[in-house]
Amino acid sequence: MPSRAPGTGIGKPSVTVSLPSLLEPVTGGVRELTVRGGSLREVFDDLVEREPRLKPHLFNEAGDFRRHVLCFHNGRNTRWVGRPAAGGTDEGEGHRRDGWETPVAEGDTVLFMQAVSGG
Amino acid sequence: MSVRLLVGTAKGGFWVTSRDRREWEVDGPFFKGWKVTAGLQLEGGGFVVAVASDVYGPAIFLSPDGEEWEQVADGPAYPDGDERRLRQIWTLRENRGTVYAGVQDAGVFTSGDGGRSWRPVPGLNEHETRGGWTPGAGGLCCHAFLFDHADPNRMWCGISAVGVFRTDDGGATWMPKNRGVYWAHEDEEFKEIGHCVHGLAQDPGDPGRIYRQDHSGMYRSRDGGELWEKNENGLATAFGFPIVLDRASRYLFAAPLEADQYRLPVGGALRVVRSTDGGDSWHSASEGLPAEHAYGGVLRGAMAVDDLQPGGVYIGTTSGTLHASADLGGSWTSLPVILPRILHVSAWV
Repeated sequence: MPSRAPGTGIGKPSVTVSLPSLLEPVTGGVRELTVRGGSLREVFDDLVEREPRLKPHLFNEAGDFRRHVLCFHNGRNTRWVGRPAAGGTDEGEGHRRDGWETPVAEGDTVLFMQAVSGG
Repeated sequence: MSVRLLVGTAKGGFWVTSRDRREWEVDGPFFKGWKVTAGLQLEGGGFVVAVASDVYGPAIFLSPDGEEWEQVADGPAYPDGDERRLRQIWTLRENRGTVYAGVQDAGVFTSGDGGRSWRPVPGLNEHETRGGWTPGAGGLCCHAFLFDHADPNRMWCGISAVGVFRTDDGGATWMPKNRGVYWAHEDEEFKEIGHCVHGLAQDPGDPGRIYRQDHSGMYRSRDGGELWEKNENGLATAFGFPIVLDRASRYLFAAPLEADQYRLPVGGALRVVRSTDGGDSWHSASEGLPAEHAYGGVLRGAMAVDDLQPGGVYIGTTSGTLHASADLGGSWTSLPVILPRILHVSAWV
């Protein structure tokens, strides 16, 4: 789960994070935030530092994304970044942090969505 | 006197209000798309509401007026790295200035500041029998609290499918109190758990007199849960989920279902049963409720009383219909709404 000392994102690349509409009550209606970080992990750290109420909705107690939370970095599912599908838990969550050390650049986008499965 | 219902559904919350309990106004949904699973009007004013999402998990919101809501940042939570998950908040209650949350995965959290910050109750959450706790069909959830108004150190909680626990020392230690209740499943090691309590109600004049709608039937205890005895006289089926008590009349209300693999109103007739003699006998109190082709049940949190005189009784169904009685179940009116699956009903005056 993201955690780090406050202010460590200063001077790091600026990234736009977009949130799904269902999370509007959590953020007071904000759907788009600008955060800073040198990697996806630092982006997530800065995001939950700025909006701590988002943390339990995006990440579970084990520190992984919630099961049906999808995250796209510049349009690519972060699930497939780095070393995919290794060491998953019985809920299929354990592998999802493998790509979190991926570097990010100024102007990158991070989009959160909920998985659409079933009907 | 006006009545305000909080109706929590699988897709949002609704306010249902009336000045005379005849004409009703519906406002909502708020928290659109979220399950609204529990609600509380604080004694000092303001509201606490629990929501949950299958994707984004649970949260607690506060509001001074029921219109503007703010999520609390320090809500109930299991420690980072814990194998337990906070999946849903099933009940919110207030007693002597402390707010209690019963949650799934089963546990109790308390707040001393009106719901802004929450702390676990280790005596229950880390109970020595925890390894034998097994979820019911609705999940492993703490869904009911009772308080002894004469003894601030005594309270009860109900956990499915574990049983009733009581503390006599302000929550430091908890004892299973299920003697006389049939097992839902027998734990090999912990013989005092494995009981699937569905709902609890309490006599306001005698806190030790407790009524229990259990998976295995209807029970009553006269001694604070030390011993439970079946009290099913007059019940065609003793399976169901909610049980509530009107404080002024001490009438009890329940909503029986065909047990237990069906969980449907018997014969397609939505029914409420009432006991006017402290559980000695039960009688149908269903005049005006849909009597045929009605297959929506009433979940454990979806029945409420308003404590006016005569008492109002309210039920919401899994089919999204909402029904009100202004005369202690003597007659019922079906409100002209079809809401999402109703999970929770609270009534406040």
